[in-house]
Order: sequence, then structure tokens, then C-alpha cells
Amino acid sequence: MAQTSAPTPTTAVDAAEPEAPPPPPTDAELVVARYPGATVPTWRFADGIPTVRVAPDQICDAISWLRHRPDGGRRYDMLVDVSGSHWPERAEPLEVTYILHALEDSHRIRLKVAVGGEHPAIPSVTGVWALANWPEREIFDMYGVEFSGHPDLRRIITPNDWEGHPLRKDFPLGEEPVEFQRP
Amino acid sequence: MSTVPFTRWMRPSPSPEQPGAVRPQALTGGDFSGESGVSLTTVDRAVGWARAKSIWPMLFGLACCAIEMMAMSASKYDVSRFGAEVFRSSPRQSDLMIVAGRLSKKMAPVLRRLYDQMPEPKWVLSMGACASCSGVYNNYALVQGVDRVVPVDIYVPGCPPRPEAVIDGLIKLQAKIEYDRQFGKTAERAPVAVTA
Amino acid sequence: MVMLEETRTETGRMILNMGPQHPSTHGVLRLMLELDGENVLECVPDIGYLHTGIEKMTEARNYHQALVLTDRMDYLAPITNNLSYIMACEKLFNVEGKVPERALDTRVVMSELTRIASHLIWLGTHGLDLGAMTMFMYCFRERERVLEIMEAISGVRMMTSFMRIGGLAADLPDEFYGLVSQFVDDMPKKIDEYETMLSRNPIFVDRTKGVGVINRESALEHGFTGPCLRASGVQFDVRTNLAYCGYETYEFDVPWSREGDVYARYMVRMREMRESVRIIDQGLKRLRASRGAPIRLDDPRITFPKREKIHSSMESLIHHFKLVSEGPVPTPGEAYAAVESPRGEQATYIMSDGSNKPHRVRFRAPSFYNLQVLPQTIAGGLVADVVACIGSIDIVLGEIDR
Repeated sequence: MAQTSAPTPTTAVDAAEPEAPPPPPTDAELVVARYPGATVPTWRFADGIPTVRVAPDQICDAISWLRHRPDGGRRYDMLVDVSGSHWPERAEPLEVTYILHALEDSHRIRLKVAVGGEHPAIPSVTGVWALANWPEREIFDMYGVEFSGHPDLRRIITPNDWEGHPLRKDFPLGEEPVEFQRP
Repeated sequence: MSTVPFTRWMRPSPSPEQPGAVRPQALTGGDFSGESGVSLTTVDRAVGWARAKSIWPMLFGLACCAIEMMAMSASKYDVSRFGAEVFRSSPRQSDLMIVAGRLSKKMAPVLRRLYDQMPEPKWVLSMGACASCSGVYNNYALVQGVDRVVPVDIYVPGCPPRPEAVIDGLIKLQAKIEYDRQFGKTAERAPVAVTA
Repeated sequence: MVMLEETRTETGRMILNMGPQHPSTHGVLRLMLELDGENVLECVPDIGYLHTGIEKMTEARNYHQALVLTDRMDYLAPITNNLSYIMACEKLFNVEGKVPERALDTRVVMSELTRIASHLIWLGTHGLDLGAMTMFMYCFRERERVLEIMEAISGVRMMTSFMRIGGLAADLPDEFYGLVSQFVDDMPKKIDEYETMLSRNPIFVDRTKGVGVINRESALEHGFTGPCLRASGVQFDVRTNLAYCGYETYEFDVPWSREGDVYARYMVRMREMRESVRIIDQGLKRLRASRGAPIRLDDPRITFPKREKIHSSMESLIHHFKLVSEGPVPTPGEAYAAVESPRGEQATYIMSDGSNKPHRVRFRAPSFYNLQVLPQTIAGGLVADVVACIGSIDIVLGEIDR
């Protein structure tokens, strides 16, 4: 995991050492080059996992490509986590994060997808990885992100008749005031 | 347990510690074959004694407290010393519900249904902070205290309470059971606070 | 069982509703089983009966306060919850790698102790489910000793909340060394005792060998981690692959197996307990040598000033008050930190917007992903195997529903 997070700006190779080959592109750079519109966020990632933000319609393909690696590169054979977050002040407030792990050298990469609008929807990656089933249901339950193509998209944690999405920032915590009084 | 002897059946006789008290010789220490050979009591007391000493709790764990409940029934703490070791998995065979853990709003109807399935007489022990008042989790997901769903007889504080604390709550519940009215409609149960 | 209702469909198949109150579901898990006679055709788990709203709660607490909420997720191994949360905080505050050695060693020893305690509960209840009732009593006997150690360290048996950002809450007490070294001496013999009772017990072996088989591909596809994944032939352990807290300096093996059945998961966990004892032994030697060394980082942004300073200096008192009431404030960013909990990769993913409260705390619960594999393990098996499979996956509903 001791990887440089952001791709270093590839300046011209130092003239003093012309024979030093340029470092091979990292997987994050390959993903950025492969998908138009994919960017490396300028946000701070304190854990050092390389991160790429891709467009919602690219996520299935990106994850499938990273898993199978037709170019013979490092295969990411574990999808470690799928999680959501809500940033109300951003243009695309709902964000889904995928963390992938490569068993061969314990390298990790993180993909992010942001979505907004009245009915936020992201293609489901259950076709690529069956384990995304429950986490996506959880994100649907907690944030209201619809996953198109999901085989069984219904609430998982809260009761079926629950209203609202608890982890959205506009959902109140629901604390009940406690009265402290002398007996 | 020597303070709750068999002879409690004989109350209200003055306690032997009081001057001039007459200790019923025949019944001390649960000895049936005393001098008189007769034991006198009310049916209410006899039934209360039997009920208190043969509690069958329901094997029903919700969260962390359930682990301490298991520890209570396991080797070191051994709740069978107090006559409450027969944990039944079915509510229809049990008379004490130990609510061990936090109660979510999804689980609350199930808990109520379990309670309704238990035969009378039945008691509820609210184990731990979460069951009593939802503890540190004052939020949308939890029922803020199981007493909103079922009537609670004993509250045991702690997060989770030590097995000794639960056993203490159990002994206090036994005292309550023993001196309750045993027949007729179940009396309105007032909560008993267990002080640490 | 209260929720056990049966319905016969037109095809003669039966829908059996198991749970949420069932002694073998290890908590409030509900399974809907479609049966054809004794055979299980389909299994649909229903979770959420223990949803506590912990992730939402942490967004309303500051970084020090939110620690207390994390204990009660995986209540069989609270230390690992604390640890992953604290490690994510340390990454966020940029103090990772500055934590004193002694604190790291204590964290390792406590994690391994809690791993043994958790595996003992798993073993006891798994045995209970499969008819070996004595195991329960034996396992709780040793678990009480671990809890005694925890109580000596922190004053609480289970919910220790002993970790702090940048170190520990307090130094280890003097009786810790004696208690742990006795435990390390005794434990291998006790594990032998368990193995005598179960490993070649024909009833246990018949009910576990070849049951609930998950192969390597299926394990990765459906999201196993931890001992279950290693029993399916993948040598992935966060302690060695993504070492934290100085695990790379300890000498231990990661047990694994190719079979992928319930018995393999049992063997992997049994061997894991032995390895944990080895790690504790090494950690204890280091802790004995480093007595008196600092246990907490001295960083005024995060850690409290020393108690004696609070009594004598006004600035320290104000500093302490600010840290308690307002809490530490990180720079905006995200941090993901994973530890190997007894059930698999337990991780905390904190997102900060630069305020004193986390913007989002995500807990990656290993049981949540492991439970997803349950329908695959059960499908095609018998009803009696369902409890064996649930027991072998070793779920904790507290962290699944959070």
C-alpha cells in the first residue's frame, strides 16, 4: 500500500540520466488514460490508496477491466468494500466508493463515482462481482442511490415500510431529548 | 441464599431477631421432619416460593449483553446455583425474558410478539443500558428503552452488566416473584431499581 | 421458535422461516429457507434486526467521543473495532508512524487476546449447535481468563475503549504481565484439550466434513475474508499482507487450507488460536522490556496534556478543556484503515470535511460480506447443515447491521 497516491507530473526525463527508463504507468494512470473524463481527485487521501473518479456509466467496465486485465497487468481479484457518502454542498452530492485489492502484491486502488439529481442512479456492478449485491442494497437503503441492473434492489437494513434514507445529511439523527430532573 | 429460607412461608410471624420472637422450630432450614411434622403456609406463598426458585429464562440474545448472559450461564458464574439455568429457546416454555441488548425498531414488533407468546405468569428483566434506555445510542434506529414495548420488572444497569450484576437482578426478581400475589389477575407491576 | 411459520407452496415445497429468534442463528438473523423435504433449495437471509445507527451517530460526535460507539459493533472483539477506527484517525491526523512502540505492542497483544476470546465463543457456540454441549463450558472457562486480563488493563470486561488516537488510554498495570504469561503457558494445553474433544469426534467430523464447501473462486466472488477465506485456499491476511501496528516484526504463520468446508474453517481457527498465543508471547517479552516507555504520542493537537500539568498550569487546563469539548480537528480528507479482526478484514473509512466531527464514518464489517456467502454454502444441503454453516462463518449481527 506504500504507493504514491497522485500520479507525479511526468516531466521530461532528466537530461543527466538519459538511459533511465520512465517508470511504468501506475494502474490509476492507466484507468485515467483509458476512460475519457476519468480524473484523479485533488482531495487528500491520507491512506495512500491511489484514487480515480470515473463517470457512472464507466464504472462497470472499469471494475471489470481491473479485475480481468486483458492487457496482462496486475489483476485486482478482491472487491474489498463498496460504500456511500453524501456531500450536500457538492454538485453531485451522492458518492459511491469501490476499493479493490490485488492479491499478488497486496496493492489497492479506489474508484469513485458521484451522482446527483432527483433520482440518482448508477449501474450495478453485481454483474462483475456478486459480492456487490448487499453493499449496493445498503447504499440504496441508506442513501437512496438506485443501482440499475441490480437483481434484488430493496431495503436491507431498515424495515420495508421505512421512509427516508438515514445516512443522508438531511435525515435527522432522531435524538429524543432526555430530561434531567431532581426526583 | 441463607437469608431467604424455606420458613418464609410462615410469615407474617415476627422475625427471630426481634426480642420475644418465637422461631418455628419445625420449619427451620427447610426441615420437613421436625418435631411437629406439620408445615403451615398459604397456597399463595407456596406457589410463590416454587415459582421464584424455578425460573426458566428465555434464550434470547439481542446484542453484546447476550454474551454476558451466556457467561452468566457458563462455568464460572453458573446461574444454576440460583435456580435459573434452564434456558429455553421457545417463549412458550419460559417465564422470564432477559432483554439482553439494544432493541431496534425493526425488532420491536418481534420482541412484543415473543412476549405475548410467553405464558402467564411472566417477568421481564431489562439487561444493560441499551435495553433500559438505549444507552449511548440515542438515535432514530433504536427503541429508547424496552419498557415502551413490554412491561419491565427489573432494570440492571451496565454496559454490559457484569454477570454478578445480572445474578443480583435475578435474586431481586426472585424476591419480587415470591411476594407477589400469585393468583388472580397479574398485579400492576411496579419497576424495581437494582442498585449496584 | 416464534417466527417459525411454515407455508406449503403449490409445488409441495415449503417455506421455513428461521429466526430472528433462534438459538442457532447467533443473534437476530432471519433466514427464509425454501425446502423440498430435507433439502434446502434456497436460502434468503434477512438482516437489519439489530440496526443501531452507529454510522449516523459518529457523524454527530467528535473524534474522541466516536470511539466509544465503535466497541459495540463486533461485540466479540471490541478491540479490533477500536483499533481500526483509531488507525483511520491516525492516518487522517497524519500521525501514523509516530505512535510509540510500546503502544503498538500493547495493541497487538490486546488484539490477539481478543482474537482468542472471540474464537473461543465461536468454538463454544459452534459446538453447542452441533451437539457437543460440553465445549461451551470449557471455552467460557478460558474466555473468562481473557476477560480478567482485559479487566485488569482497563477496568471493563468487554467494552474496553482502551485505544486512543496516538496511543493508549493508560499504561498497563503490574499484574498484566503475570496474568498474560500464565495464560500463554496454559492456553496451548487447553487448545489440545478442545481438539481432543472435537477434531476426531466422529459425530462432529460427520457433520462438518464436506459440508458447506466454498471453493476459492466462489469465496473471492462472494466476498469472504478472514479465516473463512483462508479455509478456501486464499492466503490473505491483513496482518501479513497489509501489515499494521508492527505485525511484520512478529514471527507467526497464517494457517490456511484448501478444502473450504466447515471442518476446514474449524481447523483454520483452531490453528489461528495457537498462532495468536505465539504472537502474545513475543509481544509480552517486548512489553516487559519496554516498561516505563511512553504509551502515547505527545501531540498537542490530539492528545491530552498530562494530568499533573492540568493541575498546575492554566494553559494546560484550557487546552484540555478545548480538546474535550471541541475535539481535535483534522485537515479535510479521507482515510481507510483495515485490521484483521477474528472474522476478517475489519476496516474504518473516515471522510472529514475539516470540522471537528467526522463527515462520514464507514465501517467495513467482515461479517456483512461473509454472511452473503451463506446462501451459497447452504444451497443443496440439508436443513441440519444450515446451523453448521452459520456457525462456521462466525457472524456477529452487531457489526452486520451496525
